[in-house]
Amino acid sequence: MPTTPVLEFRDIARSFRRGEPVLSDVSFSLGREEVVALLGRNGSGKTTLIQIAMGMLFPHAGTVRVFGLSPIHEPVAVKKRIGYVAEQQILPSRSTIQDLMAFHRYLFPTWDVELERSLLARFGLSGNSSRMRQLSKGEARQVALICAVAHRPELLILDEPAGGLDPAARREFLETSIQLLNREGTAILFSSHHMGDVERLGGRVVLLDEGRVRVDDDLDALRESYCIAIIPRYAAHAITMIEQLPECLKVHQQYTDWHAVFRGTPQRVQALLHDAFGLNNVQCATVPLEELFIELVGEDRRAEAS
Amino acid sequence: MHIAINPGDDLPIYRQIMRQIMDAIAGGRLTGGERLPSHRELSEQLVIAPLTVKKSYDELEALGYIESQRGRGTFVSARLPKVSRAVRSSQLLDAARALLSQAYLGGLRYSDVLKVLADANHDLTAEPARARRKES
Amino acid sequence: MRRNLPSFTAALFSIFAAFILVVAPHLAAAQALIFFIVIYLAMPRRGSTFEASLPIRGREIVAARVLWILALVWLPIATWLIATAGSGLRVLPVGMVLDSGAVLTLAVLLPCAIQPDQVDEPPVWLTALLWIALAAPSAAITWFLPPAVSMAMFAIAIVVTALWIWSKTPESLEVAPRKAAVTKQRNPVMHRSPTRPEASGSAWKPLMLSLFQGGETRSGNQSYFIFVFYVVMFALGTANSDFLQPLALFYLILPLATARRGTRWLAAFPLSNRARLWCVLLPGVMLPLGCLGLGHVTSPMFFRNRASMSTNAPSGSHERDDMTRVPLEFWRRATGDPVITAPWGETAIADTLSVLRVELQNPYTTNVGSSALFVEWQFQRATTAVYGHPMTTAIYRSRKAEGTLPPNVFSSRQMQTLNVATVIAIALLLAVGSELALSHRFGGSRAGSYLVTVVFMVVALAPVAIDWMYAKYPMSGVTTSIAESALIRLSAFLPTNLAVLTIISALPVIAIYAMLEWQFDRSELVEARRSGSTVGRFLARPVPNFRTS
Repeated sequence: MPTTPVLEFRDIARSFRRGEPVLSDVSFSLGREEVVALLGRNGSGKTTLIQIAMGMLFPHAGTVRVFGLSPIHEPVAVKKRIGYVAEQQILPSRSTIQDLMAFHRYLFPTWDVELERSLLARFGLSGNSSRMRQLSKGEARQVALICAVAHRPELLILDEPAGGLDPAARREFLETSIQLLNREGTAILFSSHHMGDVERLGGRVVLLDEGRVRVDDDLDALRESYCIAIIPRYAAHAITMIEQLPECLKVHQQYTDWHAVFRGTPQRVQALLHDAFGLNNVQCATVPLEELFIELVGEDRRAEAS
Repeated sequence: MHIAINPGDDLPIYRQIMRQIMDAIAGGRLTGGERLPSHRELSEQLVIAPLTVKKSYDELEALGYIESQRGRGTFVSARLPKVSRAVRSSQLLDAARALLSQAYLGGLRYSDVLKVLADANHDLTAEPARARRKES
Repeated sequence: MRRNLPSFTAALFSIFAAFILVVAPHLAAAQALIFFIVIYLAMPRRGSTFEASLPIRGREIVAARVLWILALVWLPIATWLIATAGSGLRVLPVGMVLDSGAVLTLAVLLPCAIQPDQVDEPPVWLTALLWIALAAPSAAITWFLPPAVSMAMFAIAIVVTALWIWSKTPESLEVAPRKAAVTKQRNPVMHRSPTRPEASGSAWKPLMLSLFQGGETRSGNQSYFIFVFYVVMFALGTANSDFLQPLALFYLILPLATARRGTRWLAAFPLSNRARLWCVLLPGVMLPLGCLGLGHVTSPMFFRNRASMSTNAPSGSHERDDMTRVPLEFWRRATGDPVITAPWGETAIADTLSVLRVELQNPYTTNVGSSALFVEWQFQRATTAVYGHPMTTAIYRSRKAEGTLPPNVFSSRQMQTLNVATVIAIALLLAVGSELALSHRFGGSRAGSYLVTVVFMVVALAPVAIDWMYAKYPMSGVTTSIAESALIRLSAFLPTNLAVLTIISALPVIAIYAMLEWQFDRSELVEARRSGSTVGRFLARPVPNFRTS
């Protein structure tokens, strides 16, 4: 029996200037206990998509449903069950930590005071009566995380939450998120630039490139079923035809060679290129996530004129 | 036992876990019938997703190295899978070729390789002896 | 120079101030407010972190910033001096204007003299205290001493302060040492015994605090400025006898924008749209209006009872007796010849005035040669209109001498109710207009949003502009008069029962509020980063979380 997905985007389109769409035809969904990593270059629309999910922005086309509800028309019902941490989040700077917690306690009926206390203790913040503006960046982010997590949300939305945090703080962030995932079955949608975090949280990867979904696949599939083929110079004539192959995601120039990203294991791709174009023993390899990311969204690199 | 994972490694995380568990079983550090941490425990310990742990356990179970018993947990198989000696030998031959070619390219000789093998054997098998001594 | 947003706005306001100073010099409240805003906008800090990291001497950074602000302050004054130099039409004495300029210069310099080695300027409360301390003595000096002496005193003070700042500012400015010092103080708190029960915080504080904070900047020094707007509204309320003031209503835009910025962070919380709307309305509209009303109510009562009928009355085109001049609200449209005919046949030529291409006449005019009977007859008609019941000239004169004149028609409860309803309705309309610019329909095009904002500003400014056009007539604002006379006419149709009247006048207010709610549901957070144009960023008003230059 199909259950309502926790978060569902269907054909979302949005632009900020006429003719310059920030998002086009973005569709994917997230179910209970699922983790989706939203990857993409800065400006590729990740934050916009997240804000659409939060009901802060209206999509120009398409629909977004959170718990089956529209975040724009039923903001209260939706936001009560979401935990949100963003890098550019604004929390009132003059309120103390306790006041902020009390405010959340009031607004979120499922707030768990015990969990709040234990998290504060874990981050070393209990008894800290400073105001938000006096905390360091990492501490402020930790407070934001506690605020997002202590009411046991069904969906956790993290918009580059670990940006600028030191490794220890980042690790604590991950730990808390994973615990939430384990114990509450929370679905997690997060956007991050840190591939290590993406690898640890696992799940699916949705890659946005210029506002479109380029890749929507399992993380392990990305590691094992995607490879880079290095097309040598002499085969440059075949580039346009290689681009047309359905398994080929992107081709771009790297100095003197061409790199093509394929969906398929290296052996299969080698065989494919041999059968289709007669190219022998083309070098194909699986690459770590970060390399794959760069290959998919990076710019062409031409050799500099000598 | 202690598992360490490296997210940036060439191997996916679940394979790293598989390899380390298999190494431990091979080296005798994990004995048959010993209990493995649950998905949740290991995921929180290593700070990785529980599904990743589940995937590695599933693969190991498919290969026959571990077995999960409903309600009681996951345990190392009492009887390790029987792979035909021929298959195993050919797998080892490939690995040996790779090892020797790497050594010879580096200027080492056969005797050096044997020494390296002895060290590796010591690493794999020495720990349980130390651990048992600590317990007693 | 600095192309950042507050400087840009400050420059705009400076030009605006120049315009007002030349065109409508008696609108002192407007000028003072604008100068104030210029200083506020241009003075967030002595220099930014970015500037502090450049290879420029600390003194130069401070000097550059201060000179920029002073230019903004003196530009309007200089413009006014030049523009009115030849015409001899100086409504304001030169000395006073120059003195004001000097006082403002001091106001800008003094905060810089505190902790001159830091990039951040002193906290808001300290600056406010300084300015208050500066206000009283400088007002006294300006008022009582001859211009030359006061200018000299101010000049000395300015030079001394400037030298002090110059000598004390180090080569490089420190960035936020205060914050670090405070953080160190905080840490010992954490070691306090855990047996003390955890202070459970008050949930309302974050909300309440942020309602009055104009948005978040890391240095936090722009916070709570909204209270200044409240004080200004109060001042405008006391200064003017009319409750309906186009200028005050126009300035509502400022606390409204501030309140909206301060409550942006609530967007991520499970608050209903209505709750969020009220978080903006309360500090942004209701409280300023309340301060305006409070000012109006507390403005000394004796003014009302001493003000004669002809206060704020325009003089028309003809020579006539002073007694029957009435404020513009009571004038009528001129139909045909401006001739008033008494029942016994005596005629007089009525005063006429042309306002917005409509001829108006004073139906109670008496000419110089009119008979005593005619004058008495007109006088009684006039007092009936203005006070609601006729008075003979003798009674009027004696009561005026005693200071016991009755309140005029506008002071009746009915009229006051109508006035209040109108003001609230207009304020809510303003809010609707500004929400319109944030509508999600413009998400795709900044041009649309900008257009709406411009149109809305023009519409809001129109009454102010009209008032300026007719500012040469010494009377209360034209638009106010038009509005009041319309309300008087309207009240003739409405029941006099106060409760019923309140309900009826509340209806349009509720309708506009419903429109506001509808529009608010459709507005969205606009991210500033997306837009590359300066205009787009101006509209979106970014709220930086961390310090940016």
